[in-house]
Amino acid sequence: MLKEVLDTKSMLHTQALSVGYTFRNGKYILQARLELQLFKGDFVCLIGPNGCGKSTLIRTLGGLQSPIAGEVFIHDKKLSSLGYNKRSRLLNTVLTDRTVVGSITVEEVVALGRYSFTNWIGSLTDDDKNFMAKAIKEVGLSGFEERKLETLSDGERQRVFIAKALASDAPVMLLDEPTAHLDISNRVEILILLRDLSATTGHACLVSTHDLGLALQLADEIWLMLPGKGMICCTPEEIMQEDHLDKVFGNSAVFFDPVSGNFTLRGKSSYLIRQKENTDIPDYALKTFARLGFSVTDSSEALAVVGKNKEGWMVITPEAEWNNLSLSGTCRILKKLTLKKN
Amino acid sequence: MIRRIHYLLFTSLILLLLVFFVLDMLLGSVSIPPDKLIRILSGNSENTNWSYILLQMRLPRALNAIITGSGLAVAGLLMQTLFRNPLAGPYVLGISSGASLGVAVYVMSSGIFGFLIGTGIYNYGLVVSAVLGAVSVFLLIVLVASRIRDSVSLLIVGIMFGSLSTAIVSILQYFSRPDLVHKFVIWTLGSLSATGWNQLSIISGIILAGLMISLFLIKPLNALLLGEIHAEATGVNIKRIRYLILLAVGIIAGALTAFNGPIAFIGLIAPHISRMLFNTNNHRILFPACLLTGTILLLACDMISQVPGSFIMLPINAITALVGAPVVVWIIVGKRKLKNSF
Repeated sequence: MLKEVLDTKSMLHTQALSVGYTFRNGKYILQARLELQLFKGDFVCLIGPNGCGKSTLIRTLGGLQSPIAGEVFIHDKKLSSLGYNKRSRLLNTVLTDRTVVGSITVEEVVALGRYSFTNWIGSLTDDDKNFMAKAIKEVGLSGFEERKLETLSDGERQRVFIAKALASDAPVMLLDEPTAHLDISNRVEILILLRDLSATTGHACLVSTHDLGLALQLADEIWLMLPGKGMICCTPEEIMQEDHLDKVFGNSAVFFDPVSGNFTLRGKSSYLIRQKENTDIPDYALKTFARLGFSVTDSSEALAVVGKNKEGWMVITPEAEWNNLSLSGTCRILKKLTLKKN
Repeated sequence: MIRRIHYLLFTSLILLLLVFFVLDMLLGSVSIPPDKLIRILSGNSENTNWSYILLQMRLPRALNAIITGSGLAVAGLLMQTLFRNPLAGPYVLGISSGASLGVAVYVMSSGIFGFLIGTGIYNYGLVVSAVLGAVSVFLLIVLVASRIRDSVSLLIVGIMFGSLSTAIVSILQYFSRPDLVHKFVIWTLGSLSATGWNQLSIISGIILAGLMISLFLIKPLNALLLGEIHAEATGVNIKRIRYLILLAVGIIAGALTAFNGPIAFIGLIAPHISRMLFNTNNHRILFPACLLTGTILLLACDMISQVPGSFIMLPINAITALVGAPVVVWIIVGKRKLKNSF
């Protein structure tokens, strides 16, 4: 048991791996000379901006695309030397290609996870059925076995494909953007599901995602892909400590806030307003004004005086005065005032 | 998973097939009483006319309808799943056009083969030229398939090969003697009665070989339902499977066209009808279902083409189109989302 715990040999690793595309008259290298290692039970999130090669890397690791150079190893065996059957027993790639397959049932899709184990016509043994039932239960789709794929929501469909990968019991799972097209609660659930599964089953799980906030909270390790400049692989906390994320994703509109672990819009406080005496401005309203670019000061150069009493919000300018406003109404007037000023 | 309703459907289809098979033998320009059928088949009939009609003409023709119907339906199923296209059929690859080209060249180059007209060898020459035409187009397509990764492009290439063959046939027709053109046109109308026992044994051997290959394709076809890239991730050797599908369809369509002329629509609609009846896309069910529906359809069309009680014999191709085209329209209108039928 202890030996198993201490087994730190990687399940999948790469050697000087370059990924990209070959064309008739040349090649387009997205990432070069990658040395990656994926360990047992690890839940790794692959993040990076659009077009930097996340999907290409996942497809290359999954053997669906040839590397431009270098080699992928699973359990110290060259991926390119494995046959189709052997490969799909060792690793499973879940792609988010929205090919809608209508008239196929959940059970039939999950059964395809057992593809490399079944006989020539695809008969399922009791063993296969056990793996399938377990996988369907783990993704929370019990009772959905006979449902057609077209009747499922995007989140449920994603679970079906995760169940298919689980059913194969392959020790390495690669998922390309499993949270794309999903709403926030489904995204959280899918990523938590994958994290828990990698912990309980001991499978290594690599997930590419654009949900940075969730990835930073859930992943054992983050693989941050820098466009054309290799990858940084370390814990989420280390990633946040350095300002890597800000360098990769930050721009004039957004910055990474290490305190909250999230991206925040850059404030652009260009206008001043003053709080009216004997009135109250709640904290949430300060945020509302900040969003619009107003900061509350005592300065006499303020664009307007704003306050809230029992009747509602008020806005006072040298020229006019508005009373009994809602907060939205106040914002509308403030926006008009800035237009007038410009 | 096979359910009780499926068994019920299979039983009814088998019964229907038997009824149609018997009816096809009884009906025609000469009606044979049902009670005499067994006696004639067991060789105890005193009426030699009926015996001759039944044993030398109707029985081989009905058996031919069974072989042809099942072969075309399975070929259509393979094509539709491979191309994920509801309008694909055994003839879209241009194989039948290739056969037509072979026959056109043979029939219309009367200067060379004209002396054979009227002898038995002439008919064999027809078959050989049809097979040669079908095989050469088929080889061209396999050649192209090795260079093209995606199946839709392959579909378009097939259609283009078909158009090319048709164009060459038109040019040949333009320069040919009217009586030879007539001969060729008769061949294109298709006929199930051109086969005697000798040809029937050849044709059934070839089709059986094609169906045997198809039997081993059931499992990968189910994986192909998810789309080629998903299938590859599942562990399907897409390239090999594509070759095998082309091989099976090439053998089936080539041989059937050579012996019976191009018979349209059966291969297109039988898979649709099977999918609708059984409400599934599982090829383990669709494969036998297509065998049955294809056979039943062609037997029905053959009976109609005999115009029971008259001496007329309509071309089978006209009947399959008359029956098939409305069915296609009905399926499209009824389903609305034809794309989701896969």
